[in-house]
Amino acid sequence: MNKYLAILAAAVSLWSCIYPFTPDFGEESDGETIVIDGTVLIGQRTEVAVRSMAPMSGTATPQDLSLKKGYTVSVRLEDSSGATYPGIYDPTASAHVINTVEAPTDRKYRLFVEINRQVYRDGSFSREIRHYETPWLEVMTAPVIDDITFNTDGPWLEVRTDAHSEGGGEAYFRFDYEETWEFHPPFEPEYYFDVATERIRPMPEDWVNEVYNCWMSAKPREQTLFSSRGLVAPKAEKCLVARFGRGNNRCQEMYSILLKSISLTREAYEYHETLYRNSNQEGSLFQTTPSEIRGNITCVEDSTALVLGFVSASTLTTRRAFMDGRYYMAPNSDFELFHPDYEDTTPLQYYAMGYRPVKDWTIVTNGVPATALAWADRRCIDCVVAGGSKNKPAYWPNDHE
Amino acid sequence: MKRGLLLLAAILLFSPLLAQEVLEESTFSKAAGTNSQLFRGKVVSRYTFRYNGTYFWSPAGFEKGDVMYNGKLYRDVSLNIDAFVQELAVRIDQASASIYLDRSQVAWFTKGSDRFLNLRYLGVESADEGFFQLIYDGPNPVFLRIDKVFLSNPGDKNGEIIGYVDPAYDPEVITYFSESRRYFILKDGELVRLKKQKDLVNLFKDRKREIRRFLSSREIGGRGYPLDRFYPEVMAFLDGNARPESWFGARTAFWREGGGEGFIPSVSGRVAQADSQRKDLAAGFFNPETAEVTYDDGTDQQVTYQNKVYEIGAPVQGRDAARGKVSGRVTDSQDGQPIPGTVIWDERTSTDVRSDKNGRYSISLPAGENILHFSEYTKEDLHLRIIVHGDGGLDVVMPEKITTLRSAIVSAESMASHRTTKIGLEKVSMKTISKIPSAFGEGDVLKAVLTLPGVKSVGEASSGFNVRGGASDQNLILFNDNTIYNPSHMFGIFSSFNPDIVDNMELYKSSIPAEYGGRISSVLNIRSKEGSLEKIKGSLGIGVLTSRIHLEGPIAKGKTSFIMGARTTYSDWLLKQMPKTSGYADGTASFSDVNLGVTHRFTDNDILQASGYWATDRFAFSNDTTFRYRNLNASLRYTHKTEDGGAVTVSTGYDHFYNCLEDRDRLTGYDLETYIRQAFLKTGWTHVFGDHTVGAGLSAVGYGLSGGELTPYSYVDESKDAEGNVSREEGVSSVQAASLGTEYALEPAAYLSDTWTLGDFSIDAGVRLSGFLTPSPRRFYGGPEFRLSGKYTPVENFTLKAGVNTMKQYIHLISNTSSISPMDTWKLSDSRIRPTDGWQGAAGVYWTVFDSSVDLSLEGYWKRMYRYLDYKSGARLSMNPDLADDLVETTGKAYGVEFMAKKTVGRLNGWVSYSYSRTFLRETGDRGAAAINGGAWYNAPYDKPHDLKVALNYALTHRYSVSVNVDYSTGRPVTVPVGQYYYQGGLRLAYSARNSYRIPDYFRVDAAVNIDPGHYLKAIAHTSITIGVYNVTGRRNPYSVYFTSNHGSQVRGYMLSVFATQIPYINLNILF
Repeated sequence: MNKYLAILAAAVSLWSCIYPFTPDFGEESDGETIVIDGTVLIGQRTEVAVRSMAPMSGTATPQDLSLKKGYTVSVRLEDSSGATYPGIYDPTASAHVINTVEAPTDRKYRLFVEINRQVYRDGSFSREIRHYETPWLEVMTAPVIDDITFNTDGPWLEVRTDAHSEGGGEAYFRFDYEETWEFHPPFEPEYYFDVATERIRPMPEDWVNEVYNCWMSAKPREQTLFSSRGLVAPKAEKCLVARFGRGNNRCQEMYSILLKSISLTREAYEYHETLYRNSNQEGSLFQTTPSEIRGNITCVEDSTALVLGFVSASTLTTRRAFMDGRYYMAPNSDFELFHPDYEDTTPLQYYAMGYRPVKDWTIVTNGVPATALAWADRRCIDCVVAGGSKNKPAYWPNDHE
Repeated sequence: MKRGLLLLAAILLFSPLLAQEVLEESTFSKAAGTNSQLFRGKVVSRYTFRYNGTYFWSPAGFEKGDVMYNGKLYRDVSLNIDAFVQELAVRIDQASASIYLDRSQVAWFTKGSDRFLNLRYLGVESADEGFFQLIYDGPNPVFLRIDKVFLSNPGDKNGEIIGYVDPAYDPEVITYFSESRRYFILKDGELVRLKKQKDLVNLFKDRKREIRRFLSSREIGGRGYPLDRFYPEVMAFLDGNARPESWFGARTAFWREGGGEGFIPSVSGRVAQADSQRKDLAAGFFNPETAEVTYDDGTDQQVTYQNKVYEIGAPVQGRDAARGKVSGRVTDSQDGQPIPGTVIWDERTSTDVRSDKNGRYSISLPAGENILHFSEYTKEDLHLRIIVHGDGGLDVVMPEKITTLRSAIVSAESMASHRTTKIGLEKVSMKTISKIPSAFGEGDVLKAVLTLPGVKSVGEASSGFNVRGGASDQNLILFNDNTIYNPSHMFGIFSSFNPDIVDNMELYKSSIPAEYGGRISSVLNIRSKEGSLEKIKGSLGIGVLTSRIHLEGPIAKGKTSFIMGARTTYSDWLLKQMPKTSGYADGTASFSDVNLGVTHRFTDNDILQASGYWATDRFAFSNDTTFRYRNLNASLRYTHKTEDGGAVTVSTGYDHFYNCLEDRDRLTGYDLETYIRQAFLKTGWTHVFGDHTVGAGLSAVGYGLSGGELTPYSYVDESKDAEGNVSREEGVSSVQAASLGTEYALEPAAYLSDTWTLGDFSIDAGVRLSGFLTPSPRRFYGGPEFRLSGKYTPVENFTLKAGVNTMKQYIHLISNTSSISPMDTWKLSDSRIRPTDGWQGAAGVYWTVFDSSVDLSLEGYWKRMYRYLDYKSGARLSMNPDLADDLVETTGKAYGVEFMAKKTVGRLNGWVSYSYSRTFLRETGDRGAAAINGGAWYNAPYDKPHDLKVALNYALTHRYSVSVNVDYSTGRPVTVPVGQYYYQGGLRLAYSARNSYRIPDYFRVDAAVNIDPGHYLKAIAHTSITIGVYNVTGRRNPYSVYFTSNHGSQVRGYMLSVFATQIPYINLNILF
């Protein structure tokens, strides 16, 4: 009886459904809304990207305006003493880089962006110049990162941090990070296919290192925000920064995280908090109505124009931590070996299809063991093909090459 | 379990067969005189449903006759036989109600020229209970037995099936009394059934041949020859009488007037036994105050029938006063309870009044003859011819409307809109509500409200509703004078009101009476039933997700009654039965509510009512977070009715709404509690001055409101290691305890209103002075609110109305969700948050057509709202001591037209309505470009311009009906992204104009089959079943659309549909 009641309950609960939905958006962005993305990092390099917003439908994508034809973008920073810090466009960073390494923390700063673009009006081309500026920004002191811990108790591996503000009152932090981890493919190859001779040969040991040990890095697409509003002290305790599953190759070998933290004003915190909430709706019955929140950048020529982005000024604190992920790695069965059928397909054809010889492998069929050379997808034996890099970071603690 | 199911099935199958008696108190005149002992017994069954045919033995009606009753002969008694229940009904004269004689004491009687015997009484044990007509009187008498059977079947039944040709046969009515005729002969002490002509012949085998010769010579018998002639003629021949007709009326060996001889053994010997079996009379049966029908001044008249003329007031020296005031009380024939809201309409002057909550009414009429119509949607209409000489009283007992109204789903009777000045007044009874299909099948007050034109919601399963462009917090929801702040259970799937307790509800969309205030859009006034003063009864309801019970009855018979109800859901228990892997097993979603009401009548004019209500909700879908909220209400109401038809009421009560969010995270966990407590005291007074009905009153509401109490989560964990050592860990989360304190305020009000009737014109005008005082910081808001409406009825079926209202609201719901969320909080006006004001102008045309069966109405309105609160982007609405900084004031405008066609009679009834309406908001103030939509008008979240609603019910038979509900509306406005961009490593969404996009249109069809209880008078329990499907087409109606960039990686849009498939349901109600 309970079984049927349970099914009924499931039915009741499951009447509510969520479906993919693509609306006809109607009025959309014309691609002229400006996005100014940057944080003034005193004591570090400051990077400021100037982009456009793309409409929801169609194929247009957000663009880096510094690279857009007909556009000239210049960025500069000014401090309260009148000193100017010019921005230089760095194509590798897709941003204008301002040297604020030596900038004093006891001054206020404001960011200026100038966009000079060619427009076509009334049958002819002309130049249009728009200026964007922030208010004077006080330099916030970044929180002290007290600790980084790895929570390995649950189904996920979690990176958490303790941090505190040395000032009093409410504190608002933003945690960003860079992850680096060492990994290797599922199988260590014992053979390789010699294309020139179309022969399978034993893999030399120094060749193994070329494909078996790699490093990979990533940056998050979303930062972690923290507010001490309502808490006893301006202190983040066990604040969740990142997490990943146990099948992830982050925990195959060594994992490292470089945590970067800045302080925000309350307005900056609310801007980013709203931004993330708007961008990650969950569609519940009691969903809050999304709303646009204005940043602190205004267009000098048109104060009503929407300018996306909120520029903060802060010092930066960083801290690195390592975790030996091998203890937490869950078995991953996504990669498979197979015994090839050479009657239909030659080794060269297998090679051309992206498979590589791995090792001798025994399988038991109807109680009869059979040992033969097994092949696998090349991603299973080559970490570079899987997206890794052979550039071992200088700070890496082990001696793998 | 199986046994339980079998028991349930048995109850379902046989409940109509269980016994129930329908008793009704009636009056008899002293005119019964020496015959008064005869007129003791139970009152007649009232077959007030519509039918063809007659339940009487013959269509001849009442006739004079003699009755041998209880050993005594009564002569010239007006009597008739109810052949449906086989009872002998007698009455004193045409003006009096009739009663059933105790059948066990009736030996025989005559009716006109016919003679009848109670064969069981006379010792024929094999005879059925009831009466047999003697159609041949002799040594072997022959009897005709007629029984009437109540059936329901379409088709023409006139003639043989109903037993006679009825010139007034109504082919639209499918229920009828069918006639069953049986013949018997009493031969050698045995009662033998005669089915065919040859059955009689075969009884006299030795005389068969001469019988055939006789039949042949006289051309008697054969196909189609009437049996009621055949049998007497044959028997007369056998007895040697050549003229059988001479036997009728002759005194024979069998027929012994007065008894004591021949076949009638010992009538007198049965007297003692009959006395012991005599049934109790209804309470107050011989109470002179109610029993007398005196026509001199009319003050004690009680009307239970219509075929007479009532004279009101005594003629003064042969001359009547210019006008007379008729006042009295309208009560229910079933339980004697007062019937509020009955429309009393005078045909001559087109004046109408309504009975008050205690059933009291008073109407001023010109002298002379008038016809008063008493209409209430659950009762049979009464049309009384009265002659007014002066002031007088007229109490009216209204019989239940059974067939037509039980199948009707229309809220008000035809023509009702012509009798009131109110615009936008909708009144729905619980019987109506129960016929409207709803998700999970339980009759739901709020879902019924949503089927009315001008009422919208943001989506299915959403709490709250929007009336004519008003926000959901702008509706004053009253339940027995108490304010209900959250009217929903389970996220809005169910309303907070137990359908078995609710009696009716009124929704004022436009013309809000001056006695109500505090909200600017509407008043939803829900009243619970009063308990029966006569007997214990109740109901049990079983639904897909909920069960409920209600019980009512007298505490002191005729004086004090109680009613109680309880409801709960098993969804919580069901969720726990789910497999762990389903993800639902850890979820909880439960609610319960309890109602209790006690009414005491000191006198008919002094009534004290107490009511209490408690409801709680709790739900959680993770181990960490639990939501709870609770309504607790209690009220006491005293009513004193004055002899002049006025009334004084005093009510007081206490309302408490509490909600709590519990977060059990060790680091950041907390309890967040908010509440509203309010106590109120209200007095009201009404008085009739000629053409004026004046009302006045005072009220005060005291508020204590907590915007938030935040307590850190304290935890204690004990665990044992492998060696059995207990380790204890305790701690407190890092959340800082905080409190926003308690806000206090007093809302006093006074009102004065007058309804003035001037021929075809009626005007309803009122003014309400309301104020709002906050002690700290000291602040006072207030001012007058005006209510004005009028109607002009140039012809009986055509009315024009117009009106305007102004309203003030001092309490606000703080929410940034489209639907009322359990965690939304309320906020009192203070020094920074000003009251919301609003006004509405409305006008309407009302036309009743097609022989008063269809009401057409067209209403238009224009509404403005000032200082309605919206929130800034990124506003923090919870635990914000500077909440006013995050709120913005907006101005709202709404306009619309509503068309409605409502069919109130016939097998098909219901309504079709269409409305076109718009609602816009605009931020006021000086925030410039930062203002919502840059300070331009934007669509309110519930702005759904086109709205088509169909609610129809078709009666297949008197028990079976089919209901269909159709709902179409334009999709509601939502805010969608206008663009996407990269920012800080990920893809983000930009939103611009608020509510500028609309989700796809909403369309839903529901259907249900309703099986009502049969009219088995002897049943002790009646069962009604509703089987239906909600969202028959299975359309995936969107509740919302939303977008996510999946934390910066890729933008995708989704649509949330609450009921994305058909929802079948069955609902069982057992009345006992």
